[in-house]
Amino acid sequence: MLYPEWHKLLIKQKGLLILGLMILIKIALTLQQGYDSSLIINRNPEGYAAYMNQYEGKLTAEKEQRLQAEYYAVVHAGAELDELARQWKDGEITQEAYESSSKQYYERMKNSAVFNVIYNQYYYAKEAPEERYLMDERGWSTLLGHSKPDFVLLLSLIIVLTPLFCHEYESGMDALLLSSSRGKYRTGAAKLVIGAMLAMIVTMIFTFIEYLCLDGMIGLPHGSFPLQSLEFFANSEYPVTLKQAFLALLLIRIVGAVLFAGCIACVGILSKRSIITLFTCSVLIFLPYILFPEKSLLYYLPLPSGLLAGTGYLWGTVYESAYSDQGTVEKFVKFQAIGRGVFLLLMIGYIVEIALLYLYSLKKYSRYMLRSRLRYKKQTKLPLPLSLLIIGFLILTGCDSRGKVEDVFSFDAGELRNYGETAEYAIQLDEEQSLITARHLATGEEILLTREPFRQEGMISTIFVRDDWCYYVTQTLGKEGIRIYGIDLKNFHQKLIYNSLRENTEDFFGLVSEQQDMEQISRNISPVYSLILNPNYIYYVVDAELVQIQRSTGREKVIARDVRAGLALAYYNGAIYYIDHQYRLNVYKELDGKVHPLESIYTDQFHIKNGELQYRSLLDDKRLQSYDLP
Amino acid sequence: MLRLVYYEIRKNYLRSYVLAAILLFLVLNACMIYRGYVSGDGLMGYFMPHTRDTKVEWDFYHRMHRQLDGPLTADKARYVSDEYERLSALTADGTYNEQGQTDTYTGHIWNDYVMITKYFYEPMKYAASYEKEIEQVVVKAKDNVSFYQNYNNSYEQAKNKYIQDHYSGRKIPVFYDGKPWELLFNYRFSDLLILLLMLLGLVPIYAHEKETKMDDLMMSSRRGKGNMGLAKVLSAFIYIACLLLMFSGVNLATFAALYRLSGAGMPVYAIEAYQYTPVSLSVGGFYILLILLKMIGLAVAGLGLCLLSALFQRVIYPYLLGVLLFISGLYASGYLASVEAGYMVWALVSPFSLLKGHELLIDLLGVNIGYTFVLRLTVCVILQLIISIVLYGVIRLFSTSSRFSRSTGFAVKEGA
Repeated sequence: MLYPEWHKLLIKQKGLLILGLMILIKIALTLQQGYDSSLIINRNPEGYAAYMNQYEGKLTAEKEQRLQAEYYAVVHAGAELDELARQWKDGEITQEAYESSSKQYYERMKNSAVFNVIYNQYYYAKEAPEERYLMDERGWSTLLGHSKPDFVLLLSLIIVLTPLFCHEYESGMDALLLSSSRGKYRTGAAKLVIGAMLAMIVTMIFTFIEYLCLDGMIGLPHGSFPLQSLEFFANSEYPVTLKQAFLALLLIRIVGAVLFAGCIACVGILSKRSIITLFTCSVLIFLPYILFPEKSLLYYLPLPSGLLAGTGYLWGTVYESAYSDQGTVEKFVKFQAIGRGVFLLLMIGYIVEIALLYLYSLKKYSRYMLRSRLRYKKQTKLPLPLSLLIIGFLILTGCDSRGKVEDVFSFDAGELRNYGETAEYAIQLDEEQSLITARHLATGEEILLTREPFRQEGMISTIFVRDDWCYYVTQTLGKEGIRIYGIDLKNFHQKLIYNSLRENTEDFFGLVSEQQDMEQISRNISPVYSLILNPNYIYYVVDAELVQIQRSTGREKVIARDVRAGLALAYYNGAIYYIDHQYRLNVYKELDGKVHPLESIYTDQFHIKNGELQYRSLLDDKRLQSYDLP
Repeated sequence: MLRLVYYEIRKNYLRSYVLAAILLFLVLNACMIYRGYVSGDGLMGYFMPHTRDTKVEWDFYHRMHRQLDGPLTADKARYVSDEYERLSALTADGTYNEQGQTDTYTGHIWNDYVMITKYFYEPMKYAASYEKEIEQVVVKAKDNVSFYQNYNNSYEQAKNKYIQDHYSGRKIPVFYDGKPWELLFNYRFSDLLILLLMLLGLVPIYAHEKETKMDDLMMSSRRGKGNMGLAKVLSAFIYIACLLLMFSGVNLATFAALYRLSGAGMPVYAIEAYQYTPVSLSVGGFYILLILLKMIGLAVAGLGLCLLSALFQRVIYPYLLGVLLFISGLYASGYLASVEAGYMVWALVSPFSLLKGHELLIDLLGVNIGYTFVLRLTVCVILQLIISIVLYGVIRLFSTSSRFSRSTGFAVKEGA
């Protein structure tokens, strides 16, 4: 009895094909959406991983001591390094002693941002060390900390399960089936069982896809750690491990899937038409997410929406902060936790609802024959095979590269971050006003380059002048990313060179809205310090990081984390020269893509002129020395 | 033809389940607006919740608006400014008595200060200074026109000329609260309900004929081949237009009843968020423009659904593809204000961008076409009209084209 129904649903109705396509879409979307993370960790994942390896796990007294000591060392690393440099400059210690002693401070300064992330986690764990372990939260937070609907799963279930009953009615097979006792009861029961089983299997597959994709992307280690190790679950009252929480989530979703399959079957039996079933089930499942986004009410509804999101049952109370009219910060409940007792009652209620729904569906299906008129309908031909689907992306922007590896021009980004010259103009950035002006060298005429009549979006943090073009970086407060524009100084035409600000504003009617709370809105973004462009790459310095952007793909890569901001930084002949925290001169070569320290040069000031690097040597009483560049 | 259209409407849309869904959604839509009205727009938002606790504040708000709404006069401005100064001075040094504040509007001086500042002083200041502010923009644009002319930069010259032509002489002579209008323009939940109802009504429009084999019968007559195709598309337009009018009407009526919309004749740039809008219509006119744009967008989306319906024999596939089409179209429309040309083209091709007319018109958004400045809205409308013509042609082609029987190999329908 079951086999013909399986065959009909999966093969004849093309259920298997649709599921296959939807699984591919699900994998693509999961990989595309990525995982929860922060800019600090993204910029220095190795540093974060190194610290995490040292401190992850249960917080012990010994670990706490090490953390405190490290914190002290990180906070004072800059001062210690300066002190060592002073001692070395004054001849109190040798260069070798300076190098060996400064290395630890130097490394700490490079990784200070990610250590602060770890230290914040430590502060969180310290409040309840028994149930809050230190760990890399990113993977598990993505898996358990969101209540967004799995749109692809829900659509798959609706599309695959709708023909289960509707097709029989629409093709007139119902009259034939219901004329026999087997067709009347056993077929009905078999169809319901198959619907429920298929819904369970599909839900499990989709949930495991999420798990496996995240495991592949970022890893889901330490599944045996308590759930409260994730900061998001700080107020959760369930004493379970992360893996147990995932299993609970899976079970909740399976219950939801069975309920949803019952709903589809019931609506199909009642309406007898595919379009009504498709429409009603879509409304029943999707509208609650839009009406009650991330609200606890979603999880109390006698509908499958809450169960299929699942995660909210495990959450604690979630708070949000905002400024009041008085200018004070006020905290209010965003999500009210569902207590353990209530959760149990809800689950019992859902199981009773499922049992009643399936019984009612069976009764309605089998009884139908008594009142049904015999209808003679020709069975429609099977639809032509589906031809699907082209997903196109038009991403590539910016200037085309010509495969030029080395670029012969020199640029001192330290000195020239606010000033640049071409043959005709001297260009100046007024950082306060975010205005760029060009003075004609021959006539002395002042020309404003930022000529937008309306308010200018974002602030301009640095400029770069080259080949009759003035490039500038804009940043917007509270938003991650930068925009780089270029102004052609021949006709003052402005062109977008690079953009990493998130541009898509669609929130699908509130379904996927990412509301920023007070903390995110007021987040202070570090200004870009220096900017350098050549036909293939863009370089900029933010905090102490030197970032490279490949212009053809828009891919960003941090190539150095030890740039001493405020000191000279120069580009020459396909290489970037910069001073690191140890006052050592480093060079990044585009040819091999690596940073090479120039061991013998310790300086706090240098510039490149006519193929010669002139620097103030800290090894030689700050005397000016020169170095021939290759 | 009209009779055919009528039969199509009766057959496809005047069905009990469609009518029930429309009625249910209209009620749900009104409830959603009411829910927003009761809960307000958050602690940092403009609209306070409507609860017993905020009754005094809302009473004060309405009382003051009754007094101040209408032409913006020096007396009204002086009154608000004086009140602001007085309350500002009282709250700045904190010398007011915390207890027994009797001579107040809302029962508390700080509350009075916040209310006057947020709801009256700042909006009135904006209205009064707008003329001067926008004049500065026009002066800058005028300066830019001559500057770019000297350097043969045609695009920037055209853009600034546009600003000079369309932003000159603007002023706000009246004072009304524009925020409820802004809320109405931004309200999108009804669009979702219309899209769902379009799926319900349009997906079976051709597929149902195939399921019941009515298409064979229809194609066997001259009228069935020619007029029927047009009648179906016309009926779809009428269905979409009715849905849009019903929901827009409910939106307007509910917002008007709850938020007391006033000042329909004030210019749309009187709403602060729309200060740089390229259109100089009244807010009432602007709302009508938004509805017209939505009509075009929904009609193209509807034609897309009709095409899918014409391509398949069962409703499941056009429904699935229709939902995916809506999602991808909505996602693409999220890029309508993008600074990147590639993404912007995606947005302009998507008919769902026209559902966000308010976003297209909130700022001056243009496209560089051959060094001339063209409004993105204009480009989007033209593209959608072209797409709709193409879609109509393809629908006619697929709904009336020859097919061959698998078993016999003979054509089962005549070609168009």
